[in-house]
Amino acid sequence: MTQQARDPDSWTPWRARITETAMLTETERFFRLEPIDGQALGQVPGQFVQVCLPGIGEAPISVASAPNEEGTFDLVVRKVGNLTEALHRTVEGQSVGIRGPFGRGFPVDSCRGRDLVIIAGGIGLVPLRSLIQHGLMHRNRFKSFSVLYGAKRPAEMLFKEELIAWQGRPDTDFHITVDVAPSGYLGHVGLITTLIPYLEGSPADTSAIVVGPPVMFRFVLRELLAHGVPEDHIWASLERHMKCGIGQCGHCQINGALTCREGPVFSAQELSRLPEAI
Amino acid sequence: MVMLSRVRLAAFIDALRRHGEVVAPRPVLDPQASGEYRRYEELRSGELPELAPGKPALLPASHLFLPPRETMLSYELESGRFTEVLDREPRVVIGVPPCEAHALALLDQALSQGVPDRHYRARRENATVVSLACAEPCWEQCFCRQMGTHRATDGFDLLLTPIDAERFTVETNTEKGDALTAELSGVFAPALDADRAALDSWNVRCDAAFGPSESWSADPRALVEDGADDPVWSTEAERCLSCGACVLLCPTCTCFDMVESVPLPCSAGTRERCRDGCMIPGFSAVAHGADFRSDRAERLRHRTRRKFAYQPERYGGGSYCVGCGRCHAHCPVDIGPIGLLKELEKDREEAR
Ligand SMILES: Cc1cc2nc3c(=O)[nH]c(=O)nc-3n(C[C@H](O)[C@H](O)[C@H](O)COP(=O)(O)OP(=O)(O)OC[C@H]3O[C@@H](n4cnc5c(N)ncnc54)[C@H](O)[C@@H]3O)c2cc1C
Ligand code: SF4
Ligand code: SF4
Ligand code: FES
Repeated sequence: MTQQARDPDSWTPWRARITETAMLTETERFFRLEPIDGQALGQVPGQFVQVCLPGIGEAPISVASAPNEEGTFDLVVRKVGNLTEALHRTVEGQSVGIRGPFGRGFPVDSCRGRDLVIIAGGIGLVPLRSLIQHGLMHRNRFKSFSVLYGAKRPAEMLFKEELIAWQGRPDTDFHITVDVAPSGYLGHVGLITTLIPYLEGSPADTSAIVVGPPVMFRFVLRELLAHGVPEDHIWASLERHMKCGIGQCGHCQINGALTCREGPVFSAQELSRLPEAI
Repeated sequence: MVMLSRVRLAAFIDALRRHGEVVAPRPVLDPQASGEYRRYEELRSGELPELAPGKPALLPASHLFLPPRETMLSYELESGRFTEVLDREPRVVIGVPPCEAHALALLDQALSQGVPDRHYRARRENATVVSLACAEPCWEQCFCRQMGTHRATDGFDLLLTPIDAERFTVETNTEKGDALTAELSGVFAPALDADRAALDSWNVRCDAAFGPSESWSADPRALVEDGADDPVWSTEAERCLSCGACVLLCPTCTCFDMVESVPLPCSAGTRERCRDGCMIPGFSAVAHGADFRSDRAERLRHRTRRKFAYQPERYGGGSYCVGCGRCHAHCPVDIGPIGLLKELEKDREEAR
């Protein structure tokens, strides 16, 4: 497909080729994309892109990888409607339209030198994978490095092979839990909140980054505050309806804040001033 | 300032045509709706604009620059090549009432911040706006006086004020207006001191006709900010049908949806934006059924706060409601901003 110059202020997408795909679960498909113009995406972990297929539509999708040397980036798409179903029908070698990256990502700089805790619920692992990759690439920027990942059941776990590799690293602390498990499952079963009191590091020096369904966030937030993590060091990424990603369409607004610009990552302190948020 | 005599109107319009198609509110007979209404349309050849008081056009002048549906991109499906579509067609809009000129000034301000809205700006930068002063409230629903927009002070290039039956004063507000005044010096007559005095007293009569400004002392922004939990949101929204008329007619509402259009033979298509609005159910819905403003009261509160608090805070300026009264007049169940503000004010007084 033809190559077009990128222009961040326009609606015109640029193109990226699908170089690799895999089904992660029955409904979630993994994509590795390579920008056709050879220029890296340049994302901050936690940012998102607008992905489109001409004739079908466009949707906001989180970037699931940290910047890498190959200049590729990863997405994970859950099949829920028009565009996402069409993305599930694409084949390797085909290309898609991309705009972005958009939004304020995770506060990787303000977490430097602190105990980092990453808490992922369900599909929340997708945007957090970019942060986990970033953290593992720059492990010495953080004191302790913990990840808590909760899935409904073992079959819904994403990135199983990577989870095993991450769990094997001596310099990190990985915990996986499922809400319900078939008999014979050997891992931890129980709510993610039950793991919080056993976190490594000192609560006052901890930065916690949480992505998951809103209910999970409410419980996790309460538990983190009780544990002693400061409100301005607890971060969440929110999902809203987004049509533009550039602060124009109004769909993503929470009180006065535009999630696509000021978010999708907000601190718990900021969220306390946005009563419509959670 | 210069003078334009009504007998020179044809010459004036002819001269404006050199700057693009001339658009003005025109009466439209709609057999399906309740009789006649006005719509911004291109003047036919030889036709003169009414330049007379009347109900505001159904759709405001700002919709000429931010149309209800517009093509943003076109593409070829085979190559995947996209082309940005910008409408740079020059237009002259004449007969824009002061409230709508204020709305243009607000949109000019908002849509040039952050990631500027190129599609709006392309149309706007190639347009000339000639405003027409209002001598008195144009219909019972308007409350421009309370919003401070009954006199045109911004958002136009030229302002016409009908100081007597035969003549308008012509004031300019922009460089474009200055240039036009110079270019059309043959059409205009110089203004005399007596004309200036006549304009001053016309403006005094105008203020009086709109009612004293003291009749409204409340600060709408403080009212909506402090009134987050006021019962008025749910008592009013109880009647709301979520039809969206209010957001679709408002001169300062800008929210939109994106749609694809691929006509046969399906080799090329367009990506279009369509007006959308926060009063319409599903506007804030995400996959898996969550809807963050599923309640009508939350939607009404959001729309009202956007007008009086969120937009002014983000983009600067006063209220993003210009008091045109469209939303109220066309609401099938009589919901309007001024009623909401008055209820909020009453509840605040009672709480004191
Ligand atoms: C910041 C952000 C990051 C996201 N990251 C991912 C991700 O990594 N992987 C993933 O699979 N999904 C992600 N989503 C959700 C994804 O954008 C929606 O599932 C997608 O827009 C649905 O598009 P569709 O055409 O398939 O659905 P449609 O057929 O349009 O509708 C199906 C459902 O999706 C909702 N929806 C439609 N458009 C949007 C929209 N623009 N934004 C949000 N919801 C919408 C509708 O309300 C409806 O309930 C993210 C959303 C946001 C806002
Ligand atoms: S909110 Fe209503 S009265 Fe105010 S500008 Fe919009 S349509 Fe006019
Ligand atoms: S016009 Fe009236 S009934 Fe329709 S959505 Fe607006 S407030 Fe509700
Ligand atoms: S996605 Fe359009 S304003 Fe945020």
